[in-house]
Amino acid sequence: MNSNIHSTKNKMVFPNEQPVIDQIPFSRRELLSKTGLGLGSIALAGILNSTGQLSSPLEAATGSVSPMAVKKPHFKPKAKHVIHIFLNGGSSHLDTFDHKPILKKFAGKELPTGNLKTERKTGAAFPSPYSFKKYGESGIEVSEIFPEIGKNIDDITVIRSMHAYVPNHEPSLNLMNCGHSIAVRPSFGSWTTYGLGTENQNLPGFIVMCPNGYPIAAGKNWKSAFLPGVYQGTHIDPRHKDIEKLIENIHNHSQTKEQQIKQLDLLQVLNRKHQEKRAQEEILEAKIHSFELAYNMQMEATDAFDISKEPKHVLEMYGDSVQARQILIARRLVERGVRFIQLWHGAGQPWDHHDNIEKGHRTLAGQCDKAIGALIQDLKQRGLLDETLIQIGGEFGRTPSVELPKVGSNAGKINGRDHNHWGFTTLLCGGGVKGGYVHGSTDEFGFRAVDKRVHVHDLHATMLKLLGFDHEKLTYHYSGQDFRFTDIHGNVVEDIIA
Amino acid sequence: MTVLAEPAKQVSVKTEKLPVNGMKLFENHIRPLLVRHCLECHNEKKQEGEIRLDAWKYLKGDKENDPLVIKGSPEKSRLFEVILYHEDDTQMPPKGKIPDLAIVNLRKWIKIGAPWPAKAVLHPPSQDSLIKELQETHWAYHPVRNIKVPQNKNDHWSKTAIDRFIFHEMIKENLSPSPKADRRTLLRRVSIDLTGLPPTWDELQEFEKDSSENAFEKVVDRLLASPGYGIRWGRHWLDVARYGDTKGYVFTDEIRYPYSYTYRDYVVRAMNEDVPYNRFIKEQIAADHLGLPKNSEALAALGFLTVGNRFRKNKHDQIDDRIDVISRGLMGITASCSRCHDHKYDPIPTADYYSLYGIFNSSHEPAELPLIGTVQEDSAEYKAYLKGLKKREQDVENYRREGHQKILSELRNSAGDYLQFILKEKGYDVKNMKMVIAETNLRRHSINAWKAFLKKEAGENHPLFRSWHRLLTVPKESFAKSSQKMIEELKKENPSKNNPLLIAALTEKPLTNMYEVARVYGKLFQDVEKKIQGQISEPKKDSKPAKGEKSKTAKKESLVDIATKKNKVKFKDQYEEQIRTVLYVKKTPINFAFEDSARYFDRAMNNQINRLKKKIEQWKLDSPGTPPRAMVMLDKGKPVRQRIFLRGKPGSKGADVARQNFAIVSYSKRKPFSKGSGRLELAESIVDPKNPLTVRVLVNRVWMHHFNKGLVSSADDFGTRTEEPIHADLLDYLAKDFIQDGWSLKKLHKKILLSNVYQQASNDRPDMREQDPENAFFWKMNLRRLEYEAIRDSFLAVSGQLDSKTNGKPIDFMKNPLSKRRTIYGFVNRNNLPTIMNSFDFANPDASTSERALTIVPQQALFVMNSPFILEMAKSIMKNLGVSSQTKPAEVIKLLYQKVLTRNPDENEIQLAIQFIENESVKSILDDGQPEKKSGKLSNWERFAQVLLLTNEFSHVD
Repeated sequence: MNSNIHSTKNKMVFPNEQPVIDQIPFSRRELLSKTGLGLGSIALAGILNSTGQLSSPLEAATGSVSPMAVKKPHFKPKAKHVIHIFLNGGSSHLDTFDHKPILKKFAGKELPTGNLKTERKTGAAFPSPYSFKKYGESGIEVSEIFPEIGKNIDDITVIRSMHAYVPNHEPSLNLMNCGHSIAVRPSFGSWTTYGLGTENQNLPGFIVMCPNGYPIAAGKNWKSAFLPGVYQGTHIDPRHKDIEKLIENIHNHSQTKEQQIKQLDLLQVLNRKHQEKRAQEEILEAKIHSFELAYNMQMEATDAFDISKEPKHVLEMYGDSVQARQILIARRLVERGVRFIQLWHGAGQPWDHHDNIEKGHRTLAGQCDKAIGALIQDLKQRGLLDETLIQIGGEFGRTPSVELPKVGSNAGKINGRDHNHWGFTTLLCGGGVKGGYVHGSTDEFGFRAVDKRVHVHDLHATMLKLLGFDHEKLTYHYSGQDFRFTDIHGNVVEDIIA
Repeated sequence: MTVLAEPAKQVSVKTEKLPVNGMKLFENHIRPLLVRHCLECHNEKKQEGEIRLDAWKYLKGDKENDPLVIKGSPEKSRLFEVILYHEDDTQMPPKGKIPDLAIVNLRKWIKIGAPWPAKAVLHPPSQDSLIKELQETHWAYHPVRNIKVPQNKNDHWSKTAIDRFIFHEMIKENLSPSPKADRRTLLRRVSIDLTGLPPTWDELQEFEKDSSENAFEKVVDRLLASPGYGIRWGRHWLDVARYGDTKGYVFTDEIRYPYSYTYRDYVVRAMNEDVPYNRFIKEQIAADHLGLPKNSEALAALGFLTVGNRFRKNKHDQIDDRIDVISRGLMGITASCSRCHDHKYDPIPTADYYSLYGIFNSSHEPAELPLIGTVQEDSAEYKAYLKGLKKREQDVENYRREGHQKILSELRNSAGDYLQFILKEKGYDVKNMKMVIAETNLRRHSINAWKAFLKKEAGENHPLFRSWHRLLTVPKESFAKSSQKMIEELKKENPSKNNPLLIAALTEKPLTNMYEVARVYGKLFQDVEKKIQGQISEPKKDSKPAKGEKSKTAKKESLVDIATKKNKVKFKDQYEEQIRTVLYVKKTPINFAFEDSARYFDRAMNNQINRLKKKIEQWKLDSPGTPPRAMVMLDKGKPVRQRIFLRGKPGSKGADVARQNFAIVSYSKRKPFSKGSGRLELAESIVDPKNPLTVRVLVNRVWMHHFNKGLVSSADDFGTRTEEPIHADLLDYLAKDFIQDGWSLKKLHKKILLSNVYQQASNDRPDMREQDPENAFFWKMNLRRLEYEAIRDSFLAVSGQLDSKTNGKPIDFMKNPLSKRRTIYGFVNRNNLPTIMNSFDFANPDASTSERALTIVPQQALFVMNSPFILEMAKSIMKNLGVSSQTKPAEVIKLLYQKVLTRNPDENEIQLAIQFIENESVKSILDDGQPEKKSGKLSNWERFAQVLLLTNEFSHVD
């Protein structure tokens, strides 16, 4: 039991537990004893790490696998990082990436095909208030509210045939995030870090940002459920500019850095002494090392979240807003090897425009469009787009028919759309997906996905494949069952893989 | 395979007649073998690989199918080939090779000519027979055996029965036990083990001075009797019970449970009182059936069933969670897969899952939970609570009453709209429809009420609606003309048949379509309503009190007040009165009783009611005077007829099932439960000494917490995929012994703790480790890390800050000033577990957990390095150390070591400490025992104290 005690209690199922770098020049412990250095050597470990010689200082130190150490997936991955830009509340595909000009013809009239059942009652056809324009060589149409995404459309796969189970937020969020409508299951980021570990041990491997608080169902969206707690997402409110509000206990005001180093040096001496008689206990070594990691994290995290270190032109490229902040931070995190980053548009369900969709969607798109475009360009310039899979979309789309007023639920404005799980659009970009490609379609009015339908489970299976996993084989044994992210579903959509 | 090399016994293969012993061989060995290992996939209904093995004709083959068995030639028989499990051939059965003896028998059988009774047709094994067989073959389903304590030769080590069992297995592997741990190690180990707190220096002195034979026993007794025991072991139980103080996502409802803590307090108390485990289980499943006094605290035990996640208020998921906590939590059965299909590996058919489902489906949680203990009715806090509660309840009531009146007044003024809508549904041309209220804003329930009213009460003979019905018979095309005629006819009838006011309204101007009729009705009702309104406003104008006063009362007048007045209005005119009756007196679509109002409320009103109700919940949570209540579950008046939900879908109903426990654990006669929901019977069958799982599971978990490693490899899955443990005999011995000892956990602890196995040193022994790296044979004690609760509590204890208060509402540990209560009393927010709890591997509160994950992540280190909590601990250690600036540094260091690590420092450690203190650029500060106060900076001594708190020695137990 002790041999794998700090990699959770022997439940991991990996095809390959070999560390990525097989040959480590010398062990961490050797290094420490040879040089007689205390904490000063931490810096050295950091250097080794950043130059890529040590994939994980913890492995180097202990010769064992930390739960967050880099792990090899089933096959060579195309994507190494995920950025999920969550347009929570349910952005309308009809007003963004699934243009249905025919709705104009039927404006104010009933759809000849009738309305599908959604959360609330809907009425006549409701054409998009926006104009659309063809972009790029692919000539894919994009709404006027997302011009910057439009300019990058040749790097994007537009899946227009998404569908989910039900037209309600909470189950659909749970499905999009955790692969199940109801049950308490680990989130995508948890599965990903469980399967791949993370490249930078000085930062959390799975970071969730949501300005101004929490989305609906809060932490449920990034929970680790039965996976060990270490795989849970770390929630950060990017509204704060102060690092201490971003990551708990990241600073110590009661002493200087130098003093803390002295303190930790003494600690490690005492710990080594304690370890002498317990040499075989890997947990002790892991623990010793975790202090070094924590110390490094203080520096690294501060640095990662400090966008003021970006040059002016980059800051201008992203713009000056909380969306821009979090999207730019996401790029800095990807650069630093963070595995999974989820960005929520905001607390609650901002994209949920049952009313005033024209104004509402325009405002929200205006908040993030520029920064998303900048992110794609920026990653591309840095050569990171190929290994970073960006997902953009909501938990479902919206109806092509107008939502009817109802006592107490909206004020009878008749200018919004209801939830629509029958058909919606999700964008994928980078990380091994095709560019300038449209996959599948909804029916002529945009209500239901009809051609090459992609269920949320299929999206997950595909994204896992891009990350190097056979979604049926990435499992965790718990409560007598082998659980997987796609539950008992999921078909890989090979068409969208470049 | 050596067995096979032996030649088969001589049997005549020539005879065509079946030899008697051949039949016996078939019946005793071959038939069971085929049924058990082959028939599941090769039978009448299912033929994997197009192969059937259920009758001889399929085995012998025909023109189209190759034979599977060739009489007399096993080596040429395909059936025999595949069971040999050759690497490069098909391997059958796929689940695993059959035992060698079975192979020998099959070979023998083919050799003698494969005798098969003429008409014998085999059937796949029944669920019953599978269960019976597994009860025989799977170690955990087999009844607990009576095991004798082994007598080992040359055993100079063993002191107790447990030792003898452990020694017995150890010597087989040439392993030897470790020497006894020193007294300090032992005391630290057992203190943290039993109470989650490190021993004090004084306790160590006392123990070391005690030279009596039973010195350690005295320590164990003291710890078992201390309140800390229940806190420590109660928390282990709360992991199993997936305890939480919130409900999970429940839309806009209050997420906190107001009374979950009463369950937590019950558990701690039950542990401390050593309530026998069988009783403990019965209380948690069926306390309401045990004849307890009305306000018994033991009723809170039922929280075991009710403190789980509410799964968006989805009943099926709540029941699923309860089945899981019962089956996996108490019996090591993983039943959740059986919700949709029969369990793949374990004998849990879907029917069994729904047998348990029926029990919980026949139970409910009452709206008013029972009070527990005695309420201090005279206390100011309680009085304040009652007052606040009453006010909030009144707010809900008032809102409802106002809402009732609001809707009534709306309906009184919109009869015309409803009637128009009905006409639309009847197919009258909508171009004539003119609604005041939007169609979608009509109240669904009122539409239905109108329809029913016109059909029943307000039929052809109703003086107000006779005209309506008659006019409906008028052809639409010639409405203008024919309606005129019809009205003329109605006019001629006796005025008692048709209300003259109505007739007058109808004849006011010519009617061109039926919608106009509806609007006439609408206006007629509106006019009368106006008149009533006018009557009650009049007196106000007459009386002229002081100006200010008037406007005040006018302002205050609520809809309900106005309604009271309106209700008193009566008309002298009988026809006006007739209309008023429909508006105010009779039960009509326009007038309905307050009691029926819920169904008329719209979403906005219901939302408001929920907001107000939430305030009641919040008051119960926040008022210091709220008396405790038990989160009970009671039986429904009548048990529910339970049917299987096919594929887990409540919509697709399958066969009926009885309420009962799983077949696999039912050794006592299994009969359907009949007392109410059956919860008591369920509890009884769980703690039935014949239940093979309950006690094994419990004993294993106790062992696991003492040794950081169970006897069985998985603590909550004792199914067929869990191998028989090395120490199966010890497990059964402990299980039997536990029952004999009256199901006493404390006795079990004591037996384990007083064994030499437990008291071994934890030091590494490379020679042993080489042979048994996992320490499966317990040749030493395992080192372990303190869990979240133990580490936090230990910090508090050594810093002298621990608040020993027990029980009560959960406390938010994240709030300032930081609470010093024991960690078990912290708020468990399953909706959003604080990062610190997650990074320290707190048990998942959404599902029963018997074994926590163990991870080491930098976030843990950050907490102990930087958190305000730990800095406060470091400061208070120095503050409470009782030293002054006169105290010599070496002495301070010694005291610190005694306090934090319960030992004296060695020379080297003193030197290191002095260096640390003195080499610092910041001057050593120890001013009359008071550390530096200004600017929140730590003094060097405090920084040193923090180092000791951070050591592995402090956070681990040998």
